[in-house]
Amino acid sequence: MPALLELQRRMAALLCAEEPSSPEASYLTASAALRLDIHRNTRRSTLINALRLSFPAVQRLVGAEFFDAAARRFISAQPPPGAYLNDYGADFAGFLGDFAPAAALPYLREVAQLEWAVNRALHAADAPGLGLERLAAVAESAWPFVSFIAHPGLSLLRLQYPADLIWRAVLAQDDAAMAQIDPTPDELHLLIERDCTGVQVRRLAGAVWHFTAQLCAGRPLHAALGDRPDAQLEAALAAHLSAGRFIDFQLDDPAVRGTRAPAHSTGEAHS
Amino acid sequence: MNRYALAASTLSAAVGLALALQAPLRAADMPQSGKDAAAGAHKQQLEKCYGINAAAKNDCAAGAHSCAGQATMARDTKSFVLLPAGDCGKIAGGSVKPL
Repeated sequence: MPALLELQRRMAALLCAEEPSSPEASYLTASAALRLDIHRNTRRSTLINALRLSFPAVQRLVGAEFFDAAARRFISAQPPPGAYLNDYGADFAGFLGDFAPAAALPYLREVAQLEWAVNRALHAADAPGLGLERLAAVAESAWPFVSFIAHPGLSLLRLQYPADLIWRAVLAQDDAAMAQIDPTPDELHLLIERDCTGVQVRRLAGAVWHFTAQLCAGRPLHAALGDRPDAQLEAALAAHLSAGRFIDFQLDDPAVRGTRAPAHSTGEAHS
Repeated sequence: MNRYALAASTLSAAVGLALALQAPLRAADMPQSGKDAAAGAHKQQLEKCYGINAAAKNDCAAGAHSCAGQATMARDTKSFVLLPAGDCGKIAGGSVKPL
C-alpha cells in the first residue's frame, strides 16, 4: 500500500494522462482503470467546456472540432493551477499563436487575447474608482509624483489585426460585417473594461494608449507624460479619472515618501 | 515648462475636467470610432453569450452531460482536424489555407 502522497501523485498522473489508463501499464485492475477513465474524461471535458465558454469567438472561428482538439492539447500542456476555472486560460492565446495547425489564421491569437481581456473584465471584483477629492487634497508640489493603481478589470492590448471587429462580427454572427473586415495587419490599440453598463472594448489613439499603459504600469505622472504638453493626454487622464479606471494612487516623491503614502518604487530615477 | 510643472498642470486640469464630467451624465469618455458606437446595438447579445460563463463553470449540473453519461466511450480519438472550419472563411481575405 503506497503512502497517501504517493497515491495522490499516481492518481493525478493517471487523471491528467492523454490516453486511457492501461491496467498493464499502471498496476490498476481492469475495472479500476475503467472507472478512472470516467473521472479522467469528465475532468477533461469540464476543462474544455471552461475554455469554450471563455473563448466563444475563437471557437466560432475555427469550429468546434478544431477547438476541442486544440483545447485538449492546451490542457495537457498547461493544466489549470487552481480550481477556479474563470481564471483558466490566460495562456491559451499564446498557445494558439504557436499552434501550427492554426497558422493559417494569423489573427486568431489576437482574438483570443481580446476574449481573455473581456473575460478578465467580466470577472474582476468590483472596485470603486479613486475619489477625486482625495486626489485634490494632495499638495500641489507632489502632483508630478502621483502614480495610479489601475482597476483590476482593465486591460490594454496593442494588436496588429482588427481583432475587435472580428470578435464583434463573429459573436453577432453578422456575415455582412465579417465580409467587410480587412484582415491586413495595422496597429490597433484597445482598452477593455467593465463599466456600469457592461464590458466595453474601446479603440484608443496610439499616444493615449501608451500614456495609459505607462500609468497602469505604475509609472509616476511626470514620467508617463514626458516633456511636451499634449491636450489629448490631459483629456484622456480626465476621462480615466472620471470613469473610475484608477482605484487608488501613490506618491513617489522622495521628499514626501514615507510621510504621505506607502513608498512606491518604479525604478524611475529623477532627472 | 519642465516635466514636473507640466505634470502638475496636467493633473490639475484633468481633475477639474473629470469633476465637470462627473456632474452631468457620464458623457462619451473616450474617443471612439464610429464603428464602435454602431456596434452598441450588438452589445447585449454579446454579453449574453459571455454571461453564461459563471454558472456553467462552477456548477457541475449545468454542464452538457452528467458524469455517468460521459462514460468511458471517451472521444479519445487521436485524429486531429487539421483545418479550422468555422467562420474564418467568411472574413474577407481570410484564408484557411496555409500562407
